[in-house]
Amino acid sequence: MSSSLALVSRRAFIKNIIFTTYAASGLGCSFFSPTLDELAKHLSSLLDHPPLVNLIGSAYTTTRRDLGEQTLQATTSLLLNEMGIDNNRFESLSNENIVHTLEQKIRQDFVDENTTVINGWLLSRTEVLLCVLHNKLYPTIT
Amino acid sequence: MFIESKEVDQGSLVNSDICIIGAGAAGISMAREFVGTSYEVTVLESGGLTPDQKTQSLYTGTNIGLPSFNLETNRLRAFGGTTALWAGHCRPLDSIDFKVRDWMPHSGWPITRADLDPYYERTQPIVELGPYNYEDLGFYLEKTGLKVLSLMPSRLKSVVYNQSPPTRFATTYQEELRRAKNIDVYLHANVLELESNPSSTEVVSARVGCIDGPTFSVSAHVYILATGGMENARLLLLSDSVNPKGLGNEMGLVGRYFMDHLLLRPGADISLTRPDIDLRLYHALHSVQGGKMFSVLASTEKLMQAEKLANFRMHLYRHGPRFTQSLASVFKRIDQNGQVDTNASQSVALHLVLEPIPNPDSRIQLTNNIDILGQRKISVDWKITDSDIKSAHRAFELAGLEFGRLALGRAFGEILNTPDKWPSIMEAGKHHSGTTRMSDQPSTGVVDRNCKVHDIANLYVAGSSVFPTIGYANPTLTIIALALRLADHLKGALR
Repeated sequence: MSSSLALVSRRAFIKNIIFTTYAASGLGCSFFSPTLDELAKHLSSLLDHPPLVNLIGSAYTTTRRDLGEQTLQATTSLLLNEMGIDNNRFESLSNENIVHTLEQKIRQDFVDENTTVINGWLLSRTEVLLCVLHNKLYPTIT
Repeated sequence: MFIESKEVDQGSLVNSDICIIGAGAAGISMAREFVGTSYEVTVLESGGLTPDQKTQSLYTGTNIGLPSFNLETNRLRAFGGTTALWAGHCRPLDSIDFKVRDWMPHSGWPITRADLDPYYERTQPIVELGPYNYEDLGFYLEKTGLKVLSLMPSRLKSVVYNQSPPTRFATTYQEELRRAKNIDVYLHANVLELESNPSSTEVVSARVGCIDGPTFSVSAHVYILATGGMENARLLLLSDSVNPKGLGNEMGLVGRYFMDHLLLRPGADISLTRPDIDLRLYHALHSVQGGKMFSVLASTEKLMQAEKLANFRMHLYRHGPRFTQSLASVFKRIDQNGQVDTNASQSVALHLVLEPIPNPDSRIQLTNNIDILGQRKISVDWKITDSDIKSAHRAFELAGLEFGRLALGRAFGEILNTPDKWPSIMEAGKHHSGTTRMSDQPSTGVVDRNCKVHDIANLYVAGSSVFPTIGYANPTLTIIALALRLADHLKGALR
């Protein structure tokens, strides 16, 4: 899986935040969101061994059914929220910054004990959420 | 001088100033302290210069508690004792190990780490170690140029361990004792009973039996029991001719509070997401100023207090691939900022050594089965508690949290999945302790702060059986330090 990350435009980001806010609030939003999907792909590309990634993702959603029922966009939005990225910050963040924020959030999860055990592995909830995202993107990889 | 007990006249009486029963780390260390003094010292060793099966069979007994160790193979009944088996890991007990911890029942020694420090320092050369410096890891980092994990102080710390060659007392100190004119070491001399006066306030003789040989007695001014964490209690219980409860057992404490270190090897593994990390400080030995050292992870005082945990340490042993499916490999790219060496697959096995919580229901008792000398054998009933399991689980969890926080790897372990269940791989540390625990009050201990048996004027105990708590450190350094301290005390008391 490639690790290269294309830049996502500020405009597209804002558009998608609007979208995800609607989606997360349950108001419903059916318009196409290529940029948010693209971001999900970029973040997922940080993960290696797709079958294992999906194993983690599906194991987690058995205990968190709410996540399993979410749309890809809602899960991406949730992940961004978990990372503390809000509308205002999006305008100033590059993909590199987002990835850096993700890495820092995962570190912080281990400080805050925001962790879960999947099949005997102690993992950060943020990194597990990333696996859920991957599972939604590539559900056929096992 | 060494004397073969089979050649001693039947029924004879040996007179001495000091009678040391047992020639292991404690007994030999005590005897050496009196070499060249004006005191006549008799050392009674059950075995010979090398182990033999008949003598070793005297250790047989039953284990009715945790089925985690074999009573015969964990100990050695020969001159040098279990120093013929030990691995050589050395560290003093921590200061907190001596303190009363309100979250740990029955904790607290009547002495402090500071009381033992001078004796620990004297112990270092006895077991062929380097400088007495266990508190300043920075000293070793400077000398070796090694890197230390940057751990959260509220969780874990890296501590110094020393490594003995390990010193085998049977060979290292045999000649010294053989040449000593005031030390007589009787081989194959099994003490059957410590005989007391009618009021059980003083030992008058040690009755000795020899397999396929004579019986004889030793009369001394003082007697030091140094036969190990199980046999010390057994011999006190066997000494019941005058008092059916045995010697020093008015309060029924002899044999209670049996403890050993709880081991999980490995209890968990870290699958490294940064296989290039330098962990040599932890998994290799390093020569510094004539000694060898390494480091382990240990609980911090802050952690123990905040979470009411027992003390513990974890060894880090580096391995190649250990997982057919390492979920940690998923996160390599994140931990390595996008630069991944996908071929490298490394892991670190976490070996836990956990302090057990003193438990009066864990005990050694006499049974009606008898050994080849007609002595009653023991049963060992070792029980662990939910608190022990809680500490073990938390130890691995903390290690996992720290390796994750440092972006070095992710932890995997059966105990992480089932925190309330003790993993099947649990072992004992072979550090039998607690059965004649030290306390200033006879109601809570068998020996006082000077290792003298309460209410018996001339009987002392040396060895880990006097430990009220055992921390995570291997006991040999403390056993010897206490023996040196007892020798100093006796030199003053006998003057």
